[in-house]
Amino acid sequence: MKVIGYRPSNRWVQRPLDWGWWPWLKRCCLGALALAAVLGALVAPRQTTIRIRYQIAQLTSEVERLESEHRTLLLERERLSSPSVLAGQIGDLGLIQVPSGQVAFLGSDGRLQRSPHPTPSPHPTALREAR
Amino acid sequence: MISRARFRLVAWVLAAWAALVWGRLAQVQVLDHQTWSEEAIRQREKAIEVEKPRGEIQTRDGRLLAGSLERRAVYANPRQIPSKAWPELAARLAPLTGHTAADVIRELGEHDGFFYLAKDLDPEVEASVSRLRQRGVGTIRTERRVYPHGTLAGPLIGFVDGAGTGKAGLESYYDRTLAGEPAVYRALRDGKSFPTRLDLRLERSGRPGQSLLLSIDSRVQQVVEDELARTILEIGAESASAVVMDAFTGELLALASLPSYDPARAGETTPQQQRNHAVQDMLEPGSTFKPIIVCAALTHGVLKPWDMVDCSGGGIQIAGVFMRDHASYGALSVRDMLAKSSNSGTMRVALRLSPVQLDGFIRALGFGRATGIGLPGEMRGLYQGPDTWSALSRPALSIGQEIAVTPLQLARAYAAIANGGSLVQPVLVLETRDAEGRQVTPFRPTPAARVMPEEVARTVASMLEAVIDEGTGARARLAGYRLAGKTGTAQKAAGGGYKAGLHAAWFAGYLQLPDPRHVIVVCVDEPKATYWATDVAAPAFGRIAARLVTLLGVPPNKVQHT
Repeated sequence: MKVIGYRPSNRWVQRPLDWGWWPWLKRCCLGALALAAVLGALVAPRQTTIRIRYQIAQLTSEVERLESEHRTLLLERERLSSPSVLAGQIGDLGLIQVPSGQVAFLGSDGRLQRSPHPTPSPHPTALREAR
Repeated sequence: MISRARFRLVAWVLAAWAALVWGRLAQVQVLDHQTWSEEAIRQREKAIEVEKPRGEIQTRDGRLLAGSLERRAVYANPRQIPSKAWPELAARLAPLTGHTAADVIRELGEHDGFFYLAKDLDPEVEASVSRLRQRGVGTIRTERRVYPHGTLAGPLIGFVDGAGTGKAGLESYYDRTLAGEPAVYRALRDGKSFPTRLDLRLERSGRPGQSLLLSIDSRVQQVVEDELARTILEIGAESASAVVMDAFTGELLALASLPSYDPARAGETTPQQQRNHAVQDMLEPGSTFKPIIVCAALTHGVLKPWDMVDCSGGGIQIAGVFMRDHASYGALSVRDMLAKSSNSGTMRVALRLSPVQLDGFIRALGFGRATGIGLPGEMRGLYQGPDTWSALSRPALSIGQEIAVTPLQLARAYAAIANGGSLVQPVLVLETRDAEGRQVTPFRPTPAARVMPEEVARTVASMLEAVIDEGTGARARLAGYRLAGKTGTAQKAAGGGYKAGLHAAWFAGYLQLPDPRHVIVVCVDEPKATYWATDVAAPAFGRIAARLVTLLGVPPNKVQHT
């Protein structure tokens, strides 16, 4: 007798899989979902507030930086256009100092007028004794 | 088996312990809630103060006399930095602070606590330093006060110290207005106690300092300072000051004091340079006080404009003392008496006034009290009432002795003559403005007080034209313009007498008749080459007037006969 093969049926020794963890997993997932929903509902607006605050802080600092830059430029313009600075740069600017006697200005009547200049007293020393 | 007694004992002990715990819990959570809550916030949050910029000082013609630049200072605290981290930190800090790495290490070694590693750095350095993320190293926002026009109006503007606090001039008087309030932010601390940008909350918004808009016109100020500088250069003098005032509003167009200084370099100056001579010098006004006496006499009816005054004798004898005059003129009209600046004539006019009348008039014109212009150290002048007068006091007062005034006080008195008899309040600050340029505190003019009848003021104002046309103020003459004013040469008083050889030269006047608006007072202290006001202050007045008529658009109105 030829025995082709023998495979003892040992299914009886196989233990059925324990599917008891599955409800636990589902419960955990549901719990996580619930937690996420709660967090989403409660924390998300807070996060938005924080993000907006952060952006406000960034923009405020940018505004302050630009204002500071503006002030710096204004002061620099003021310094460069200061009469005393310009007077010192007359030569560099290719200009010449004009005596006040040669300066004319436009009067309110639209006519060009000579700048007045003080008239020296004909006898200044004659009055020295006067107080 | 546990006995019942023991069980009770244990139960009571446990109950007592529980009560203790609950009691403490109640104390911490309920009674001390506020304290612990604040402590918790302090531990997890950090308050960050951000300084707001100091306000600017502007002239009425829109020029910036003072402003602030934002800067950064880098600080370090070696106690909070492990010494093994010093070399690497020094290598990274060196290029940011402009030092060498060896210098940074040496500085860290020399200091025991907080110190500034570098100051006056560009704001960009803040980001670089924060990237180091090193405890004990950080930046602080600072300011550098900038004065773009250098010495222009230096003693008027004043200066700030290293901490940005005003120490002189307008910077000092208006320090609280100019200084901003810092903004306060709250930030969460991270694990290393560094503030994070997360959950940054603005706790207090703060505000930038308010700006001052001055009544000063930078062009007029420049002209006046130029001419005073020229006077000092040509004549030589200890100091010189000048005031240009609108006679009707009291607004000051210029308040010049020389020698001046650059407020940015205040540390290199002397107290003499820092002094604002226009409000801090008290000098006898000399003959510039004579028109005041004439006004008083006309107001009280003891003198008529057409009266002839005895100006003879080369002086007058009073209480056994002969008070000298510089010349004997005989009988002069009031106009000529002022034009020739006769001492004996004015003394006789003063003696017609009772002490009460004279004292009342002098006080009504604001002498002996500060004008309240809003500058630190403003002098109120020296003036004592009739209680302390001697028999010589009225004649002495008539020629500007026994009284000391500031140039500003004299300008105010002359403004009363020029505007028809009202004493105006000098104004220096027109308004304060916020950072957006909106008006915060406007200038509210105080009502002018009438101190003399209008016809008296008009009469004296026109009489002073003769001083320039025919008298001692001839060198202030300006072709085509009707100017009026009075010279004054005063000896300097010291130690109960007069210092030989020391004088003050004055010229007080206005442009132009018949409706004068701008009062100009020039005072040159201790002129050297010559001391007569005729040769020192009058020409300076004339030159200032010549340039101002163009600048202020005052047309000529005097017919010239050629």
